[in-house]
Amino acid sequence: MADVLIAYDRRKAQTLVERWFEDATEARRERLALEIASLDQPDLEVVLLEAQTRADVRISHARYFDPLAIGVDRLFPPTLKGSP
Amino acid sequence: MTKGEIDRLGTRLRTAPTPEDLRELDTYREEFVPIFRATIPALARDLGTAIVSRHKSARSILDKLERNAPTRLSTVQDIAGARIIVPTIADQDRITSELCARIETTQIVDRRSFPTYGYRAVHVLARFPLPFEFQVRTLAQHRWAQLSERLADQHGFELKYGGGPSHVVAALMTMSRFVADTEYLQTTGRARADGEIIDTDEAIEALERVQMLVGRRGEISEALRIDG
Repeated sequence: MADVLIAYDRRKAQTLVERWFEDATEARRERLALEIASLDQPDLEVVLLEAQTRADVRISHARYFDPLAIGVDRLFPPTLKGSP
Repeated sequence: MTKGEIDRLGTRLRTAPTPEDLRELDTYREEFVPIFRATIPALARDLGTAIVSRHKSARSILDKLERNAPTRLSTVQDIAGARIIVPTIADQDRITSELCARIETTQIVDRRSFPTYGYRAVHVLARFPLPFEFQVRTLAQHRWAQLSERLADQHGFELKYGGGPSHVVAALMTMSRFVADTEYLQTTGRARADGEIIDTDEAIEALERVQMLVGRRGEISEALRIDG
C-alpha cells in the first residue's frame, strides 16, 4: 500500500508537504497533528490518500503532484480536426 | 460514536472548532479505517482496477458543514471515499455495474447526463455499513474535474458551485459540454471529424458543437488560463 499525506496551499496552488508512509497508523496520526496545527489556516488542505501504488495516486490526484499536467489543452483529443 | 455525538460534534465544527473537536472527528474517521485497509484493496483486486482512497480532510468537512448548513455530520455521505479512473465511457459503465454487483449500494448518481456545474462522473454511494462514496470517472471527465479544482484554487472555491468570474464559469461549462460531446462521438464510433461516418442528427449536432468549440480554442484557453 502507498499512503501519502499532503498539505496543499489552495491560494498558492502549491504542495507544502508530501510525505509517504509505510505505516498507515503513523500516517493518520501525522495527519491529525497537521490538521490541528493548521486549524487557523483555511487555505491549507490536509489530505491523506491510500492506493496500491504511488503511480495511481499521482494520476488520481494530479493537482497535488503534477500541476503542469492540468490544463485546458489536455481536454482536446489530439486526433481531433482543428487540434494542433 | 453515537449518531447524537456525531451530530453534536458537527455543530461545534461548524462554529468554532477546537483541537479537541478535531481529535473527536478523528475518532469518528477511525471507524472507517477497516474499509480502507481491507474492503477497498479487495475490491480493487476483484475489479482489476486502481482505486485510490481518500479520507475526507477536516478542512473539507468544515467547509461542507458550513456550506450546507444545517446538514448533520452523521448524514455526510463522503466522509470516506475513493476514486476510480477509467479510459472510456464503456469502461465507466462496466466498472460501475461490476462495483454495484459486489457491494450494498444505496444510490447511484449519474452526473454525465445532468452535470453539477459542469462536473460529470458517476458516484456510487455504498454502505459497509458505514457510508462510502465511490467516484467513477473517465480520464477526460477527470481532467475536466482537475482543471475545475485548479481554477477554483485560483478564482475561489465557489467556482465549483457556479460562482466566481462569469467568463470562467461559462468557459468551464462549455468545456464540460465539449468533453461530453467528444465522449459521445467516441462511444458511438463517430469520432472522425471529417464527417464520413456521421449518420444521426444527435451525432451531427455533437460534431458541430465540437468543431465550433475547436474554432474558439484560443478564447476558451485564455478564459481558463492557469496562472503561475
